[in-house]
Amino acid sequence: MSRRLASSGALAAALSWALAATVHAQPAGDDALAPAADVTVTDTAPEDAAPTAAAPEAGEEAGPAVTATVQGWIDSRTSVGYASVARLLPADDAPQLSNLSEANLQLRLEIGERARVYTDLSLVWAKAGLTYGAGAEGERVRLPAHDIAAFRPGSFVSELYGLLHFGEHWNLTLGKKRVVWGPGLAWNPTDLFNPPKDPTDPTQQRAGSWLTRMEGQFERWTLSVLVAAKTTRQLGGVPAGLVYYPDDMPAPAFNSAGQPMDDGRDDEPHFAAGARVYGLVADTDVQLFAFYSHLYQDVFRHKPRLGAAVSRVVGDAFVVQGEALLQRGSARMLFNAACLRDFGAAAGCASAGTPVASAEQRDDSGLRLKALLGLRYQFGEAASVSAEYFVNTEGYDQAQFNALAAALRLRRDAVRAGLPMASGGLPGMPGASAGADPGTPQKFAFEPLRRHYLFLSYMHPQLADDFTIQAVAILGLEDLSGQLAPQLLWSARQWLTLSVGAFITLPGRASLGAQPLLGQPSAEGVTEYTLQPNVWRAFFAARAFF
Amino acid sequence: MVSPERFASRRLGGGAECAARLLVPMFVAFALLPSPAVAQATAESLLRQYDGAMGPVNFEAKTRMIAHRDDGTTRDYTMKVTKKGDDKFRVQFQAPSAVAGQEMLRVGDNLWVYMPNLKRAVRLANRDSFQGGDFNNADVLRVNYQRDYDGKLEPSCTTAEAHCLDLTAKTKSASYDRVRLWLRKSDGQPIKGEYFGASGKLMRAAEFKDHKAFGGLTRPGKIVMRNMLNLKRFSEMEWQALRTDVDPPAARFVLDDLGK
Repeated sequence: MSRRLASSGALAAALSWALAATVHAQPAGDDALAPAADVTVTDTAPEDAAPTAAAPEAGEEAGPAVTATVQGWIDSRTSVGYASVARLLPADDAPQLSNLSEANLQLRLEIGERARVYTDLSLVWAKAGLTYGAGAEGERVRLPAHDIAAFRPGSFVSELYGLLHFGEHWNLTLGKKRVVWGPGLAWNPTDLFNPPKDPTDPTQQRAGSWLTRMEGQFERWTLSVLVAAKTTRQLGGVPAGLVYYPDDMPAPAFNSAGQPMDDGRDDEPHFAAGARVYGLVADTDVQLFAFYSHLYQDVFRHKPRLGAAVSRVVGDAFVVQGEALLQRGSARMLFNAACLRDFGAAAGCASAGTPVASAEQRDDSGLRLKALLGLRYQFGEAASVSAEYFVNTEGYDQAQFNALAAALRLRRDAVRAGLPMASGGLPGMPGASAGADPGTPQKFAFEPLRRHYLFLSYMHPQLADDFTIQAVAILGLEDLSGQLAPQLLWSARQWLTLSVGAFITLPGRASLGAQPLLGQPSAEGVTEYTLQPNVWRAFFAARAFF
Repeated sequence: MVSPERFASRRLGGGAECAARLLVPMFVAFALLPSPAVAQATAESLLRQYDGAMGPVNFEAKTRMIAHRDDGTTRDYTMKVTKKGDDKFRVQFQAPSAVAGQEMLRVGDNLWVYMPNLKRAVRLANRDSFQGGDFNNADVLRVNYQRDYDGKLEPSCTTAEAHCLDLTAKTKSASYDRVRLWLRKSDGQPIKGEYFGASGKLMRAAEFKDHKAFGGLTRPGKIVMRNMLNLKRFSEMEWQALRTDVDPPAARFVLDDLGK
């Protein structure tokens, strides 16, 4: 189909070129400081060699010097936890025992001075079990072993791209790459391109999106233009459809993380574009952004957005950063409270054709702001503590959150009553959307439902040389619920890191939470982070680098 | 054997004997000095010489840092260091695997670190230790003592072999509040340094060793930095290769180039 984007065709061409260049690699005599790669496919000149290019033999075709560097890790993480069956989101797929093992390979090909090919690939083996659900009376019952989509083995491409420099200032990137422009640590409201971030794990954000980027780098400023394509279908980490849904896609479709893909199957393009100007002005990183997206990671069509960000050091040890995104309308799925009082009301709405949920504010002209302001203090040798406040005016107010909780309560009660319900979460809930393209499985995906959040993080590396303590807390300021993720890492060897950690749900104050029995007195106040079944999880992980 | 005084006296004639007694020691002293620049050493000229050896205007180098820890074990890092002009530094870690791909960039007083697992760079304040070793970030990424310190020659610590410079920080970005540097009288090369905190406490002590020529530049091939707050700890920085005949493009020293 002519209008369909050939899946990674250009990237395949770039890779073919790179591999061909590898075959024709010449001695890298033009770089006396050639990096001491783990794997080097070229002969490197002695370190004191003159910086002259090696002359090709007669009849031999001269090619660019190619250096390959391979690194990666093998990682195994075993988790135990407790999931409550009394919460509004089902616990059926929240295993209390699981193992996720990953073999990661990062290959970097440097082709001469001007071209790079980089890959970050993972094979993941996952196993989960010991799941519980609610019986007809809400009692806790052990569920039989079953397939859990988020724990399917798979292969994942976090990054796979080629980079080519033109002249002194310009470069072109083509492929899958994570591009993060905003300076926020825990969250980036201006990041419209990448899969949702895991704020509890700030050191592991690897997955990018399929994109083309042109960038001009000058001494004090940079101009970037980027177009990203939504992965409409992928198999084994390889995209089978970009921008448009392929006609031959069978249903249901799952992404590589085992989550259901956005199965809209429209004939429209799904993409996002962005332009950004960065400047180092008075020792401050200043950035201005303009975005335009169409059905990329949300329901917006032809949506322009504007953003800005700053970051600078204040005093000796403080770093202050802020970023903001401004848009008209809201992609938030709102629930119709009139349809959610009981089964009868829901059935009435269904028979009348009244939607229970819709993105009714999508096209309104109201301005919405998503902004983050943060302060980080560095102390001691390399320790830091940071606090970031995030305001999300697109989030639910109390009445809208009540309606969401009512929808979840009704759904839970329907399941317990044996009524047929679609699997998966509700629209707009964490895990309900696959985004543009997830990468490797995340431990926790942050999706801000409400309006005010505080991220607190503390990190102290090099304790007794080899230990790192870190803790991240996400706090919803409306109901004071949140997630606490402490972690202790031990670099037992230079190539081996062992870690233990936990994810603990902070229940907050039920009196500030949602009332899922709309208009009726209820003791069942539900806070944002007690919607989800996980009460706590603890894990032990070992990662061996090579 | 004719002494120098007598030799001069004979050449100049008896009437000049008195003058010879004054001139000859000066001549001998002059002859023993290696170069006019060092002979007339001032704090400014020695600092200029130090910066010229330790941080030439442009260079690319391959270095290795070995951090010796309390328990006797070591951590070994290999990195590429690139400098352009007075205020642009970039360090790219190449080994071990756990940190390979990490980069640090300094432009003026701005410092960023690129984390491959984060796929992005974050800003840093200047005072962090360098990869957990005993060097300070600024020790590696900010070698411009003429800009950061006021210096004076300190006779009390000057030795027969070395000038002693007493340096006081003149910018907030300087990594230490006070530094004492010893530079060889013979060629102005640094041989020793002491680094003090705001309280006057000795924090670090450096030995500059294995002086050798890298192309046209002679400088120490190894720096041993001792942590004086914990005497079991020290770090060695070896300069394995260094080129000064380079002019890296300014576009390599921008935030957006990190990770590329």
